[in-house]
Amino acid sequence: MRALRAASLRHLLRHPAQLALALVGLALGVGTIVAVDIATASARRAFELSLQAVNGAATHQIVGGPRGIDEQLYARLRSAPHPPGEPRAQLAPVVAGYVTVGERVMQLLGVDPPASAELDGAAASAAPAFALHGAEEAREWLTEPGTVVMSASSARELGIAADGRFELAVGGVRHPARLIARLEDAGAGFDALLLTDIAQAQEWLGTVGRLSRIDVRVPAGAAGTALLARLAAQLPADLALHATRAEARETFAMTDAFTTNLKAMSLLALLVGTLLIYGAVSFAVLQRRSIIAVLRALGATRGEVLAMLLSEAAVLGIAGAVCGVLLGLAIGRGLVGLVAQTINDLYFVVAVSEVSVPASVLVKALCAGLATALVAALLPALEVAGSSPQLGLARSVLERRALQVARRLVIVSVLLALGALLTIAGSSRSLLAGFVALFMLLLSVAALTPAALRALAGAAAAIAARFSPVARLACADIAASLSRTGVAIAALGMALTAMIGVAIMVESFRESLREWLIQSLRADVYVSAPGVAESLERRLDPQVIRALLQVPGVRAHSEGRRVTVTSSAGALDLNAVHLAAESYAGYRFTQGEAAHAWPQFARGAILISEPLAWRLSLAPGGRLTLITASGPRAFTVAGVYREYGNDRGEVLMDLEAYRQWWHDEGIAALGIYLAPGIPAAQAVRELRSAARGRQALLIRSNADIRALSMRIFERTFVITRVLYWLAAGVAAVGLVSALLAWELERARELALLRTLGLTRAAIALLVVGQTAFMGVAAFLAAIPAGLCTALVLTDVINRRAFGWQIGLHLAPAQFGNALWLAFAAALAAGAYPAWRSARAPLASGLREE
Amino acid sequence: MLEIRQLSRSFREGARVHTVLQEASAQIAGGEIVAIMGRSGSGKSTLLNLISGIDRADGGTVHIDGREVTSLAEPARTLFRRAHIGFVYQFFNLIPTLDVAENVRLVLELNGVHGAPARARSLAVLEAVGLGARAHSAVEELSGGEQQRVAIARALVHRPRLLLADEPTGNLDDETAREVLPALLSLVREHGATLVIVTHDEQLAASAGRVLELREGRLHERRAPHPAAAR
Amino acid sequence: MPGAGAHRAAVAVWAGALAGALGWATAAAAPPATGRVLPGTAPGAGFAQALESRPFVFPRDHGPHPQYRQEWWYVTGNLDAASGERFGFELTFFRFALAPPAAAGPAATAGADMPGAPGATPGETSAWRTREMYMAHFAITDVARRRFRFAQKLSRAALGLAGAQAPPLRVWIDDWSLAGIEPAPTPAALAPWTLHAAQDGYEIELTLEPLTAPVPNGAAGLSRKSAEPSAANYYYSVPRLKVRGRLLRDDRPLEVHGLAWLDREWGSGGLAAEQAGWDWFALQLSDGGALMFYALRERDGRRDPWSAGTWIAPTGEARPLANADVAIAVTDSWRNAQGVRYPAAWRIEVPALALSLAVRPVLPDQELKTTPHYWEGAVDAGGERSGESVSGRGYVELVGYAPER
Repeated sequence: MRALRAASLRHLLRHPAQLALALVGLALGVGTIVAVDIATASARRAFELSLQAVNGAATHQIVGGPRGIDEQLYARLRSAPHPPGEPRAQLAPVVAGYVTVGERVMQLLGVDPPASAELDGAAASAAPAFALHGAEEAREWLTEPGTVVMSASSARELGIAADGRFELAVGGVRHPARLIARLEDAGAGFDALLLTDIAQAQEWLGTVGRLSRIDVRVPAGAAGTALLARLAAQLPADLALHATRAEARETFAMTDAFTTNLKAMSLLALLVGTLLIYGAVSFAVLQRRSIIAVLRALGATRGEVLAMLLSEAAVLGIAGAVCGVLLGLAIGRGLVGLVAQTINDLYFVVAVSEVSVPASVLVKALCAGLATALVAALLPALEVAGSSPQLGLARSVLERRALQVARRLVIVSVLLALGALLTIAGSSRSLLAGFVALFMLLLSVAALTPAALRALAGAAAAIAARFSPVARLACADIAASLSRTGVAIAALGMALTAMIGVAIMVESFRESLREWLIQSLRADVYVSAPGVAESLERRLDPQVIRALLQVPGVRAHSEGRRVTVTSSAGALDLNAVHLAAESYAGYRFTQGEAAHAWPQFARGAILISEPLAWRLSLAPGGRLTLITASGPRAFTVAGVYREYGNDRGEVLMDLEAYRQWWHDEGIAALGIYLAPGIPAAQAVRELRSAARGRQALLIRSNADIRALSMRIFERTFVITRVLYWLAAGVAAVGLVSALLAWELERARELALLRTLGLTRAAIALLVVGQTAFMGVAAFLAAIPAGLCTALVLTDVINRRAFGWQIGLHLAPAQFGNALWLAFAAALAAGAYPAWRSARAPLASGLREE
Repeated sequence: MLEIRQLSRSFREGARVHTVLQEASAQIAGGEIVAIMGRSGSGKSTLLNLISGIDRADGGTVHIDGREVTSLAEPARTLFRRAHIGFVYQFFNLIPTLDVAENVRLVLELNGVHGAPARARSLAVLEAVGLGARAHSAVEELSGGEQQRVAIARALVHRPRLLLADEPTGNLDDETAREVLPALLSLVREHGATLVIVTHDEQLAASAGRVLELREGRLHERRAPHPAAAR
Repeated sequence: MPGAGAHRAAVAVWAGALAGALGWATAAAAPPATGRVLPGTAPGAGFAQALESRPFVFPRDHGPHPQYRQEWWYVTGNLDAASGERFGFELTFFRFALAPPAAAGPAATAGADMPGAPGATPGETSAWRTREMYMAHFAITDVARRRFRFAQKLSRAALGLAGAQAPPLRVWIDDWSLAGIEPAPTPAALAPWTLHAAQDGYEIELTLEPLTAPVPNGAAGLSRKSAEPSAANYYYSVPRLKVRGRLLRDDRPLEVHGLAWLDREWGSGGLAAEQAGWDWFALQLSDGGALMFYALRERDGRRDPWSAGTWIAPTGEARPLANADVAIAVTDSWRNAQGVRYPAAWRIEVPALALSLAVRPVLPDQELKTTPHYWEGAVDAGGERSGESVSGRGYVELVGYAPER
């Protein structure tokens, strides 16, 4: 059917603007998905590589509490006689922590090379590519202080001198170090990894006598299982043995809620894209209604017409998807940095140096593009191919049909909204259900928009009729243009809704965070050791603490220690505190009563933060089992408090109780209360000079911390913002394309108005006024819908993802972006047709059919 | 060849039922040229749509070459139409994105004739209507008369047994109509096809062998078959 | 090798260490192959040197001599099972110091010059700090099944993971050990020892009972290896130890008995640049005599004049053998998969003792594929001494053989 194909192809090429805009819409939608996939896949890959680099061939790990494992246990396990004839587990001790080199945080890994070699199973003769020159480096490694090994690329990045000498800092204490070997071709997993001897690592990290973990390799199969069972039986109660894979899964699972949110945002962009494709394709189909009727009259079957239209859509879909993939690769590169930044801010240290593009992402994107275009084309194609091939259906008939569709869509909209409500009501914890409800809500808005537009335009026409017939005409025209503009307006309405909803959610979250920070940061100055979140080496030197507390003006202080402990529900963050009297007011209980909770707390009960309570379904009176240094112990939950600093949740425990259960005397942070009248800035200066020369500490005023927290908060929402601008961009493009098509089609009618005596300026005003009206209509429809969306986002999505309860905060500024976007898109759409119709010679405008 | 038996068709417009055809009947022999006349809205186009199977009758039958078209299912009607019936419209209805030759060839391709045979055949028909030289012109470069000659070529290129023409000269000035009409009639005669023309044009009707008038939903013989015209 | 893991990277760092630790003990690998000597520092700088002969005092000298750079305890033996099956075994412990002991004590290198930050708690010293590594090789020759199996352990001398002490003697890595029985049932020099090691498929649990007092080799225990005076070790052997015990093969215990040989050396020197390796023979004869001889080889293949040995008569009387005293002809050879050709049969003539022996390995492949590779295996000997027919068993060590070009 070459002629048929030629007709279809030439039609597309004859409307390049329409084609281009459809492609851009699809490409943006697909591109956003690809970008998000690439960014999360890259972060995940980097994480896996670094974990692989850290774990190597280990199949399991023995892990302990916050203070790790007594090294004597390792010696005992190694020399323990073992039943003859049974395979042996390979064991290798690891001391891990974080150090900073310049500005960069690196993971320090202390290993015992012979044990590591044994665990790795590498015969000594199979020296890897980056083997050293011989005994000399080994001698240096073992006997010279401060010797380290890192990847050649890291060394280059850090700009380490040829003699290998540099400085690193552990918890603010600086140490000289020397690079004795650079690992060439080490791979991305070695980025941000510093290898040193286990003795050196213990000394730097201040964990002499302790191991972070013992890596274990057992053979696969029954022998390995038996071996593990025997090994586990030899472990004291506070240690656990688990598979390295499980650890990797669990660690990365921390980011689940975050990545799910990202994916949902990218899906939104594609959804908007789908509606646009639908608009473009149905327009392209309707435009050819008469041609299709001729074809049918000449004897082309329904199937042939359908095939023609769908293959057109398929070509469009593939082209759009290919563009989208290319676009996504470009956006993805930018997004990787943002995603990695967020993960580093919120979860764990990961250096993403490579953008990884899994083939599955590309396949998925191509399929999504193709499917989107086909689904979008299917409805109009079926409608046209199926209708009886009578020629010359009047526009009025088409509009009547569009109106019927719009009415039917109102019902669909109501059903979708009901569905959203039922989905929320019917599920209490499922995040997926939350997103399903959210998307139903957005689609409901999309379905409602055309009817809303018509109603608004009709009302406007009735009012305008009193002033001028031209104004009436303009409004009536809008009401009668649904077949052309309905879909684009729906897409815009949906994008604006999402935009408003997200803006309100972010603002509400921001306000809640701000309030919480003001309320919970009670002390005037905060002192902490620099380093990574819950790492053990973040510890204040006791002498430094004494010096700090002797600074004049220090009136009272709180002490805190943050560690990771193992619980029946996996690893948890534990915040052990000794609170100054003023600090108690910093905790606001969402469950439980302060009057009862604090006395219980003082007696060793725990408090848990809101997200943890949500995640573990725990309430006051419940019990949480933590693995203490003397084995598992169930702690009573005395209360649940508000906390926005940690989306995984945390356990609050009295410092004395913590010391008793974990034998860890370290202090990681101080909250200092100043005597009245002493300015914080002055105190910060004096505290800094007290610590100078002993330990580089983070000493910051209350206000600084607040500002820093807000900065991190803003940073984590950058991606969200980027994504919703992408979705909005897709919608804007769609609106421009639809309105453009509509206006160009009306050239004749506008020409008629000119002959009737309307000036060029009036024509231009008319056109721009109409498109602006549509933009505003979409915006107005989006306001209530945006509010509903914000409610779903804060009360359902956020709650289910993180357990936070956030109060809704409304501010006019939240609607500003959406209004601006609606106006800009509408004006952009109106400008060119306005210019064109105002300029067009009258004769040609009228002569056209 | 064409037998119309008690054909009925009515349309519902809101609450009102508008009967267009009411038990219209006619018999047309092979090779006849028949003009159907009637006032605007008398149902002439509806009749053509029913004959060609584009529309379905409420009652009655249409037989073409002894085959009952009205009882065929939609896909079969489409296939029958594309093989056996040609169409000429008042507004030409050429496909603007195809050139002259492609418009003609499209019908052949729909009937499974492709490549060189299709090209040769469509060129031959275009030559016959005097447009061989314009084969690769864009449709919109042609005058109205030329466009209608292309439409005639397209209608006959696959040698249909029946040609239906709906006001073929309705959109042409008299002079042009006088150029187009002979082309149509001579080609129809050359092919031995049966031609049914719906028209207001008395002059056109005069060149038909027989004239039927559609009045109040029925077909009336207005003039006996003219032996010469029938030939 | 992306993603290979930190443990693997550590292996890379330590490929060098293994070669170094073995450097003197088993091969001449250290100087030429990996050849890096700090400018102005002799290999043994800072260590005590074996320059003069000295009397050995037991049981103290069974134990470690940390002021010397390297040291080893080398037990080889031939065993017979009650079933009639025959085995050879080798269990060797090497001590290798990476740095000389500091004046202030072993940990001082690490702890004292740790540059802790000003004001930080004066650096606690990690128990993992050490300057000494221990390495052990355990090989079994299962003659009946024609199997040769070996395993290696490497560990730092820290946290009790590996080490040596005396009295009573104990040398160990993990659960591999050579240890004196406490309390000693017999006078110090003849006190029995136990020996334990395990690898996949084989485990030994043996008691060694010295049948003779330790025999000093070389010049009253000082064994010089080249013209360079520091290239010398203190060296004694216990040529006959009665072995009893248990060998587990694939979890099935076998009662075994036989004869073992203990070699002990310590020193701080290395081979000379022109020396390629050595062939070491330790043979226990049916008439009660025993022969030890090491033939040092030069790079051009010639026998080095510093080669030497000891003859221990059935009476227990020791007689040093100089290079010229012993003629060794290679009568067969064996080539491994990598193209290294090892001698595989010898005729040894000691005219001064009227001793003529044909020596042949019980299996051709008894090569330890460690870094570097060496061949150490059980052998049979047969021939004549003073006209009388003698037979014997023993061990041969072949070090420093390179692939043929």
